[in-house]
Amino acid sequence: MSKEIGKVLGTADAQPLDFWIATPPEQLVQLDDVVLVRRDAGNEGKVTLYGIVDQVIARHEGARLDTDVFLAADGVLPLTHSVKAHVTVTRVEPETFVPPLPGEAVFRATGDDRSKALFFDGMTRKFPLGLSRDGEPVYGNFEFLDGSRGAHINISGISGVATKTTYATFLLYGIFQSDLLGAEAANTHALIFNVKGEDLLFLDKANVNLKPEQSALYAKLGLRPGAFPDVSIYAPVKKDQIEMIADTGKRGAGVTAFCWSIEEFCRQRYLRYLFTEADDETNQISFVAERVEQQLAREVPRVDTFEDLAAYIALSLDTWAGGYTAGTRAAFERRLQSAIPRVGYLIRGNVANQYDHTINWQRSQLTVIDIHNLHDRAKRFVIGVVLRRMFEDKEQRGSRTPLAFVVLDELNKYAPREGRSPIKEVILDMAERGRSLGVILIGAEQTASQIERRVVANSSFRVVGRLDLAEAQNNEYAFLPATSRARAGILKPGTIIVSQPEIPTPLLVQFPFPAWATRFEEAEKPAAKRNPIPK
Amino acid sequence: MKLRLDPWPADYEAPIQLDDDAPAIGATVDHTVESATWHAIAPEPATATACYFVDGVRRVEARVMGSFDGILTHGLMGSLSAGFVKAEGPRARFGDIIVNRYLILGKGQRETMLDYAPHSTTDNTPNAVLGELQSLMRTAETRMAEHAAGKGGCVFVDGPSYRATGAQDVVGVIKRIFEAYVSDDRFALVETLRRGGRTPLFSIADGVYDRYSCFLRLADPRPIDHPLAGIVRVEIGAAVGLQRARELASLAASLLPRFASTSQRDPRAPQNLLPGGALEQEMRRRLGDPVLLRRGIEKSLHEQRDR
Repeated sequence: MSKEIGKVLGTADAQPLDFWIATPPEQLVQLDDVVLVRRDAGNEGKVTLYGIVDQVIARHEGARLDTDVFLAADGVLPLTHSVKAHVTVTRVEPETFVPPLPGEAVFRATGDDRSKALFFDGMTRKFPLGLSRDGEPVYGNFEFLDGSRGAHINISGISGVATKTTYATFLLYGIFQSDLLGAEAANTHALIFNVKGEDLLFLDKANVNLKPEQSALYAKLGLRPGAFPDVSIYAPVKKDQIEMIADTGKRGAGVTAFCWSIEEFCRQRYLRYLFTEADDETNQISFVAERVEQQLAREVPRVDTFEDLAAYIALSLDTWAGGYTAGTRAAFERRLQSAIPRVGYLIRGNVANQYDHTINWQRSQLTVIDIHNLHDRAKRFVIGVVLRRMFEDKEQRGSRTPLAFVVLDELNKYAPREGRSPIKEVILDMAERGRSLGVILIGAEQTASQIERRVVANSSFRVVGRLDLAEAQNNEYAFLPATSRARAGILKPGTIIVSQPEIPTPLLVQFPFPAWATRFEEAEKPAAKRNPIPK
Repeated sequence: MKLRLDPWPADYEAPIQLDDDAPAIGATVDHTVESATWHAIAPEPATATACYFVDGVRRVEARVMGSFDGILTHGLMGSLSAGFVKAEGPRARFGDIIVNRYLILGKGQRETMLDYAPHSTTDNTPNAVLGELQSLMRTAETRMAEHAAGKGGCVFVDGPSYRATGAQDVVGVIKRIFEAYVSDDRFALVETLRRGGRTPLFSIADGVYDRYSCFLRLADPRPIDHPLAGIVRVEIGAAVGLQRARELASLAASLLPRFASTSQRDPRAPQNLLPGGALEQEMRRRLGDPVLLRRGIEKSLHEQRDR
């Protein structure tokens, strides 16, 4: 049963959508507490207002001077404590918008009351977002993610606290491991780009450092902790080596080396993804690239290496792109040349069994593509090509389900606010049409203010990890009330603020330690006890 | 004549000091009860004693007039509150606080209205009914002092209400000095007292209530203040015996300066002690909003007329 924690106070205006409550000092009321208050509304019957505590204020009552506190501490002046909390109403049931009356008892909402307050009761399909401060599950409405009413998740937060990608993988884990997808689970796919470090290369290994209390948190969310069961890991082929060896760090076994054939590169017109710098719009290079693509697609040149291909293009450029100035052609050539050492080895002529080295995002439930070792231009190329392939595959399929999830960090690089580039177009396309095509983008970036507005605007779920306080003042975070913005500056790893369409106030959510390994050491077999005798 | 300031605000004289320090006409004063010589007694180190501060407030919500058997009758509807603060160690807190409301009528008349308890006085003047409210408050203070007494601490009562208690550990604190009690040359000692210092006890026998008393300095005055600023007079019932009275007077001298208020906190500093000031504020809060109470009375009278 919900427990009384205070009363609606009458010294501040109580309104249908927000009000203050006074709480006895011994009653510990904290931010994010879910509360409810009932009110008799005459003919309308009983109205219940559900809400979330978003401010808590304590004062000395009866003190008039700041120094009264010293007198109170000396035992000379009798002062009493007053603790009040501000409640933002999330739901009114039935929808009779009346203010709660001062003096009405306010209860901490638990069980069904809590579910109602946070709209969990109306979510026919829900996925775990994490746990609230009081250790209760927090859910998201899957209808706002799978495209039926909305789609996409956008995660902002400063880097270095390993929160963004960890949370993105946690969300995927919850979506895949709960019964949410039903029969479609097997055909639902996710694609993760590992852009930094090797965090995501061990998703298929259970985390040996997972403590029992963390496992209990998974259980609370209805999940069984463990590794991702069905994972394919791709890494680029090693540079300067004829053999197809995956260029990975500590992760050795079970990694597929990927590259593209010159045939596919030409036929599928991938050249443009070598020219993705945002400044390209200011010159004619992209038009030259398009011309060249056309020619290459018409007749694939018989060359063995990308270097040869580049030379062939250079020779033909005067004919293919004769309409452009010599300066433009020279610029194009320069860039093409500089791509050779950076990207060239990923595009190869005669690969014996090319199919084994092609990224197939439908092979496993989860596909991890490691690009962290690649040069920035190569990263863009891989992301651009893979995403376009996936998008085209989904377009051909023509149905929204089974869904395809894409996890991409550093969106600020690939979909910056300013400028135009082929890769940005793919991401924008995904953000705008992905909802109907069943391509769900879980994008992350340090600063949402530097991302293309439409990418962020199309995200139903907005997630904020620890933010730089100046960044938190930007308009992109207008969905956060002032207190949440301030809190975003001090969030610890493992804690995030989630905003979702149905709940009018963002929720502070904690998510458990990853049950899958996030680095080599965590994937190890538990070592024998090294020091059996305690110091 | 060299003038010095009486630091209390001028308008504090307006509330009638009905019985605060009525001149002791015809009282016998003996200044040798404690000491044969008249000299300042320095404070002893303060002991860890729980202190109770008892106080009361009253407020006239509305004055009423009625005609009973053709005779004009004066009356009032008033509220009073009495309570105490307990200060012990590093914590001062409000103890019990009661609020009562009365409809007081002259000429022995009684009427009930709203939740104002009927009360009457034989006199029939506006001042008499006000005096009755004051004495009801004093009675409530006395009850509160009795309630606080016997708990192992020292009870300080604002004004003369302590007299009716008969308890052993109750000290009356009289904030205003209207009467010297001792001869002028002895009274001169009062002006020279230092913080915490007191005069020797003197006895006051007036046949009504015999007691011991002494002057005591709470705080040193500013140079512009009259030397009497910061002086209170404490009273202890004679019934407790000289020895106990002496102990209580010394206890008061060592304890009270700690609770003295300062002018930025209380216009009646330093005599209006900090716990007392806070208690008064709290009691007035609990009396309720005067405008609201007044409106309630008017509404009730309207309804009576309509009926």
